[in-house]
Amino acid sequence: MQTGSILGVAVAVLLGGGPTPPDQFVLVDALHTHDLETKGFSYFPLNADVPDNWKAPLNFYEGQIRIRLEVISKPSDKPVNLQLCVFQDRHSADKHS
Amino acid sequence: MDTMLVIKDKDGKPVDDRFGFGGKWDGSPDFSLYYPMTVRFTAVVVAKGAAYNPGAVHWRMGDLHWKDVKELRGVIPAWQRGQVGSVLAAAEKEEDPTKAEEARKIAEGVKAWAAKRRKEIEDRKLSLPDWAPGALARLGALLSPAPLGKEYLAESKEWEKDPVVQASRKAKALWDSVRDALRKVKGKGKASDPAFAAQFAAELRRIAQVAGRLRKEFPDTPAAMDALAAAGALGLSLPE
Repeated sequence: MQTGSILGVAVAVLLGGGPTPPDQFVLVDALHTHDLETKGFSYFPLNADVPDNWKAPLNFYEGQIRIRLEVISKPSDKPVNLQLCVFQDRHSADKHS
Repeated sequence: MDTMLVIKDKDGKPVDDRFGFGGKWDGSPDFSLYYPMTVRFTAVVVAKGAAYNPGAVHWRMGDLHWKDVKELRGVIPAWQRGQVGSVLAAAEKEEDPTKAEEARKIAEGVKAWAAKRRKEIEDRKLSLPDWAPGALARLGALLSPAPLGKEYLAESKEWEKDPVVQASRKAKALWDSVRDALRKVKGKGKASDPAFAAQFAAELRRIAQVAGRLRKEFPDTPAAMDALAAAGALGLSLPE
């Protein structure tokens, strides 16, 4: 079992539009087990605080994203990387907008 | 909008056999090198020019958010710092009748949120026995000085002493000791095949020994159930 390994983070953020007063919000906060059902790709529902507009009235688009990953348990010493993707398909039928 | 987490190997290749990734990642096609993998993942988005506040992860708890507080505004500074226990304690102590309804709503909401977190941990109490008691203790510390925090802290100490947790911990360590051997043989044959049995004699013997011990010494633990399933799939006879 490996504990607390964070070997890499890659972030891709592509965004869309609505105001929100607080200057930060939680995008994901989950205790999650990746298994043979999810394999490499796990999807998470959006929190209620995620704004529709990431550019106004506050500019999250050019802000920062703070990530914390705690690997609680995994079955070997193989190093792992994590990629977080935030994307939307609503305005583009055949590719991420 | 969607949010997705991708697990990748050391070279950045997704550990998956869909979308053309099969055979490309380190260790492919052996998923048992990576899964099951349990993680706690948190991502907070901060507006340009704003300072990251570690307490922001607790700005929303269930249906509650500090920005919606109307009467009990005294709790907002602690809430913004993520001091959940102080918010709960203040809400539970509120005696002003004009604030009582909101105080009750906040107290109940924080408790419901905490109960959900506690359940997440309890559900993994036996499968992750090295982690669960400490996780409950951290939740208890977060909820202190409210009485619920003390309750969870006391319960975490009981979990540490719980014979079932201790048995699960020992069983998991024992089963983890043969994971490398299991990886060599899993899905590659049956003990009834003479060639397979000869090629992996040492691994099969070790797995059978450990699975037999788990069945005898730590029955009903998640590790014992995993071991018996693996031994069955390999067609192993277990020692009495």
